[in-house]
Amino acid sequence: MGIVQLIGGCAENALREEVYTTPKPGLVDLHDTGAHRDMDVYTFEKSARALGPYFSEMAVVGYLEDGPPERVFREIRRIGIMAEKAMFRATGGVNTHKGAVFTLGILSAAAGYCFRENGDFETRQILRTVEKMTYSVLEEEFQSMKMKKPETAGERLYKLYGERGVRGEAQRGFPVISRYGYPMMKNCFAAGEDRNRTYLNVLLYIMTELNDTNILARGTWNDLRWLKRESAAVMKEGGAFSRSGYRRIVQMNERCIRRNISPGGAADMLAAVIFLYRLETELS
Amino acid sequence: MKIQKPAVAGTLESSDAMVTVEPAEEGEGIEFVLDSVVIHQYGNQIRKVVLETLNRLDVQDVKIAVVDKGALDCTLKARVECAVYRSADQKNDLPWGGAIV
Repeated sequence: MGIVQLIGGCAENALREEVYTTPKPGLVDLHDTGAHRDMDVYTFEKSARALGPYFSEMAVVGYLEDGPPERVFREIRRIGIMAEKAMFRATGGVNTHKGAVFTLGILSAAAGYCFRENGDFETRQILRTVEKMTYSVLEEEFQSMKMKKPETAGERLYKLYGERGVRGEAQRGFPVISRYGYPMMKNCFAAGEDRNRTYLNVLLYIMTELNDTNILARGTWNDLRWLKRESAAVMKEGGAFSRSGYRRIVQMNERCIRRNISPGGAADMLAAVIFLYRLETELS
Repeated sequence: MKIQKPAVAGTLESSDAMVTVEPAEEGEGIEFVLDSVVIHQYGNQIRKVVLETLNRLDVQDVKIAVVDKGALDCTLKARVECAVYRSADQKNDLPWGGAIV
């Protein structure tokens, strides 16, 4: 398989592996549809399949750019918009992966860029490239957002609370991945833990840290604080690997459904960690 | 023709196809991956058109992936040609239908 196909394929599969991770609090998984009524596992599968080739296309852009990385970012956003349209077509108008298109799209392009530069997919390098790719472009965007009417949930939340959401994460090279998600994934797999529980643990660990704007878009700051506290409590009890931690995750799911909240941003970060981990191990 | 770098041509709109080519080692031959909405009906025909086009362009080693959304043969040919030309970085005086020597 070519490098570009590998990147697109890994991104597509990461989206599948994320949705198959069960039981996730509030999110669509194999057991239930969490706090969602308009989508299920099949919707996510269709969406992932539609998006794969676009991630490959973004990887090509990253691979071919030999100038400054910001140029890559401007170029792939055009592809991102087409990907979003394809997603809505595939799901019948349901937003399954809008945030994931942003995150995995940037990572795919950065992976292509890094591969041409260094001949490998080292996670740290990829995340550093993301920072360079996005920082100044998004900084400009935040400035202009102050003047215009917000169009997306992320833009609205920035205007209301100054919360930078996934854009802010990208600008800093996804610290929630480099400091939390990725090391956790590596440690769990090194200890020989099973896949599903490892992914759950990564998700919960990310949730203790991330100011997930998906929660704020549908719920309140109170909900977000509760979710962070609750996931921290799960981690303290041994995470998904302990019986009580696992049980607590199941309870969290029920309470998320009742509160009608879903940590979609954290789920995108889980998919991103899976993508980076798979890509890195694929070549070695 | 030698594939120098990855290149894409086409879109994922209905009746089009997106063709990605990537370099392969010399002597590796053609690695062909197809994803098509009509793979059961036209998979073999699409494969034939793509391989013929590569042959005509004298491409011996390539990794090629086609995501087909119901493109006609002429569209497929054009997309494959375009991706190959792009990968060889030739933008002017394209010998449409023939190889760059």
